[in-house]
Amino acid sequence: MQVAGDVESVPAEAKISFQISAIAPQLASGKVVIPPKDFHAALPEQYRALFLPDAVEAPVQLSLPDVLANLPGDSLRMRDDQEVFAQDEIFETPFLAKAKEDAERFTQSPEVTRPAAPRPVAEAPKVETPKAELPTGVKAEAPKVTVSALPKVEPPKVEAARVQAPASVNHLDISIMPTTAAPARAAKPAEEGPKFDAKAAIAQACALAGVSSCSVIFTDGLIIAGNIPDDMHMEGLSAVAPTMLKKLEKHMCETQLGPLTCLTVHGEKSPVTFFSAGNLCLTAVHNGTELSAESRRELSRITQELSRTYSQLEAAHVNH
Amino acid sequence: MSIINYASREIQFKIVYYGPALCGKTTNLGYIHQRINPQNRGDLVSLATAADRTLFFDFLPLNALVIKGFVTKFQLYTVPGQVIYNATRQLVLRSVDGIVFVADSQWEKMEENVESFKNLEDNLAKQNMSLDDLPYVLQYNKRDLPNVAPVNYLDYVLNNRKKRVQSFEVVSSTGQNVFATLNAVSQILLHKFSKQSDANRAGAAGVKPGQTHVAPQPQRIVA
Repeated sequence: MQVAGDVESVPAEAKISFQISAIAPQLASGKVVIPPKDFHAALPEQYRALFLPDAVEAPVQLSLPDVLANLPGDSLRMRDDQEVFAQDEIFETPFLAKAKEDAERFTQSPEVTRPAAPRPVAEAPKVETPKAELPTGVKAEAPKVTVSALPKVEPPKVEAARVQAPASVNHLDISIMPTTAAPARAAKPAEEGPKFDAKAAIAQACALAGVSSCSVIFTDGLIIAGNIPDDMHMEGLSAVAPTMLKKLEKHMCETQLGPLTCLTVHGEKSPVTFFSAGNLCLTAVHNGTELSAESRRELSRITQELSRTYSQLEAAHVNH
Repeated sequence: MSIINYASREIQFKIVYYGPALCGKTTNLGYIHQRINPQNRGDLVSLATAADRTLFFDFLPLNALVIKGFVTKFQLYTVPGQVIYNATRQLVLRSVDGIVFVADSQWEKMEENVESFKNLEDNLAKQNMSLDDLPYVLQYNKRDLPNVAPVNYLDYVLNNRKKRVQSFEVVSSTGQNVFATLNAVSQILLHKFSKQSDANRAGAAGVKPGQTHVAPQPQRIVA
């Protein structure tokens, strides 16, 4: 959604409602989204002009805590036919002894508050009913759930509606506090966009003599781009390469060989060479021949440049 | 599929800690390693990055107890949680006997928990296994954080199956309920082994008319 006016003018107690039938089927998936058109249509008329669906038409993700706080009481009902494992014998394991020790230790230390004793989960599931503070004008008889919601305007938060009013029965009301018009899920970290990105690097690298395919991987093992065929199963080798290079680099410094430039591993079918710089590593699979000094120099330069491009973005990719 | 060595009277169980990236699987193993007497455990083998993300897996062997005349050993593994390492997860899951599914309790991790759980089911299916037949428990980790989902929602999302399993509220960084979780899954495994052992004995003695014959589960046997 795009903001098209002053959202500050929306009062805090403003609400938005959705049919529970649009929400309930999504609860088990760990996220609840509303198509932007439906979201827009659900907005009270006086605020509708403030929010416009954007071209991307990214679904508006509702805040789960808000949704759950406004659900009807039985929405999280567990299935009735569940079977619980019954154990007639307890084996004295070292783990049992340690578990008892830990339970005592944590019971004695009052600073640890939340964690409870293990729940052998035999009892019927508890379904917390949100305290119902019905918004004015919402009648309890209609099967609706109420959540608070208007997309907040500060990008790039992906929350949606803040839930203020609890549900009655079949409709979800969300208060029209400016929350977030859900931007596309994975916001690109850099506004300007890197001039030299991983895809461009792969294209450049593969154009070099002796290179058949490449991939670029962060030192934590996350591959960001590549065109190495899947059937080569290079993911594992590429993932350990940064660690190997780092270790080698350390020992190279102790020698008179000069700084490490790359590491080539020879397989029976083809060699592969790894280049490292900063927080990333480039894997270059050869086309059966050795890389020329020129290709190596160029691949090293590409890796350096990529490292500079992505140096600030590292934090953004970690929690994917 | 436990490994039974009749020659040395040993049985070995493989327990895999499964869950989304950064949910605390390695922290679980780290705590267990730290608290178990060194005489009863091997080294914790871990290949992690500088950012503490597991590459491949962690491995911790534990010697536990004697049951039905067998020395029982446990091998604990974790899988890499990142989505791209599915091949490694499939590899680690081979011949698994029990699973601890570690969920991150934070609201924003709910979708990842669900995806990881589904991924576990898919990977087991590829090996003709199912969570319906496999001992497993759920661990709701990071309960000390302020932004956690209530347990009834976590149960609704992860434990709303025909077989309802034990779930534990855990703070793996402090160790709270880490052993309770491990104990729970190992109890189920030992229970299963004990029953099978009894059934095998009964089978060897011949099944009487009217008596139900319990088919033993597949096991790898080392003579």
